Amino acid sequence: VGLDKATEGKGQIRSSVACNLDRHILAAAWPLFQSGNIQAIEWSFDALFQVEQIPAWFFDLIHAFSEKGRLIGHGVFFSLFSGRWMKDQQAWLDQLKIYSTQFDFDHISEHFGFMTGSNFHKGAPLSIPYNNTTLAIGRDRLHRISEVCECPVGLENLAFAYSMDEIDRHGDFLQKLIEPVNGFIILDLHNLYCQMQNFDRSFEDILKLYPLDRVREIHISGGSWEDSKIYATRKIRRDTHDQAVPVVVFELLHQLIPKCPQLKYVILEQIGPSLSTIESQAQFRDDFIKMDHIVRRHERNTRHESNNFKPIKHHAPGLPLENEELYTQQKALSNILESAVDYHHASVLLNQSALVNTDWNVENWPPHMLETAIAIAQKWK
Amino acid sequence: MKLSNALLQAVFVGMTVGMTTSCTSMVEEITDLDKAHDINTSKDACLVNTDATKPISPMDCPACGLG
Repeated sequence: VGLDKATEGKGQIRSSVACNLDRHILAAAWPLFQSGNIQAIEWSFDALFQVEQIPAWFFDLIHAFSEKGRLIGHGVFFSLFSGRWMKDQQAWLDQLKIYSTQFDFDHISEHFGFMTGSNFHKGAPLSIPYNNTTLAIGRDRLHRISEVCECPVGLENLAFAYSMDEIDRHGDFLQKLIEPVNGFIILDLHNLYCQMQNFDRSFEDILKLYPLDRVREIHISGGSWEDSKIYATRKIRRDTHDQAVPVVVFELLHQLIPKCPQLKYVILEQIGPSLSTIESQAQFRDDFIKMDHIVRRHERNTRHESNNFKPIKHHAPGLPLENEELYTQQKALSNILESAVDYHHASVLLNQSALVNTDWNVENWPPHMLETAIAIAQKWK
Repeated sequence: MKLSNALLQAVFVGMTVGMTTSCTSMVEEITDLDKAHDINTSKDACLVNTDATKPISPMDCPACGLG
């Protein structure tokens, strides 16, 4: 029988999986459930929009972890930085409020960025300028999430960056966003690995840019390489979650855990369609065991729960903050990325758009990353 | 964290057969969890098969940013 909330070790770091209503993920993870290796699950609670009712057996699975304080929620579609407040965002909050009465989330997190795409459940997250407008909007949205879930809230670092400058400022901006709600950071190691590869940065160099005492959760996953059409020798690392975890990412995990005193969860992520074979499911389990082994090696000397990340109570939020100029820019960027036939076309369109000479700094986006932004936006439009 | 056998059985049936309303009677037929994988899993699940052109698994989302 698993440890309950009252008796569980306070210093334990929980080896966990991203677990959703996907038969391939569940089939891959089931033997790990059976053996009791999975210490917690991370559920993308907003990804059930196409399901009228949660199947009873899945509800029971979620509830089992909830009862032990081992359920965490990970939003996908909220689009934190949308310049315009959308009715779907309010519906997202309303649904989270309902789930929060049904389940006991240990924390709730979302992704960084704004979503491109024609509707709330399409598109890809892209970054935003780091300025006072986006900071205020991000804080406003986090405040609203915190109000409805009444548990710690956090944000995940984004894999995609338009430029080197953005990488240099991402950690600091995340910290400013979460401070008012005493929030935490999810550090996705494969996302950092993408930045290391795409911008020729060292791990140590990037880690210095993050407030590691705010890291409560780490993600690991695999990804893929894509050839640049602009530079013959250039390969872009993408966070596609469709492969086994690279050896180097395990090594990064080994290095990172001792630096994160508040770490509570380490999550293995992989997409369902890439787990359709017996071999890939076995590989997933091997990755989990490797991850758990690294976690167990470090946990005794690592975790000190000096910050429980309980949300700071504020007055109830008023009307949502909006910025029409930001919304117009986001809309223009989405349209360009989704419709451009190639990098050169996108570059011309950007230079004629409302984004020129603004904080978006489109003039300094390296071609291979604009090319990547196009690929991402068109994949998910 | 250990899960009960009943829950493990229910999850197994749910993920393989994909039934959302009539799992209970089938769960009772599985008595040996070690042999659970021998059950025919070829029936297509009715979990979330709504859009054949895009994978819609929640984890198939682009949310981490470079997906």
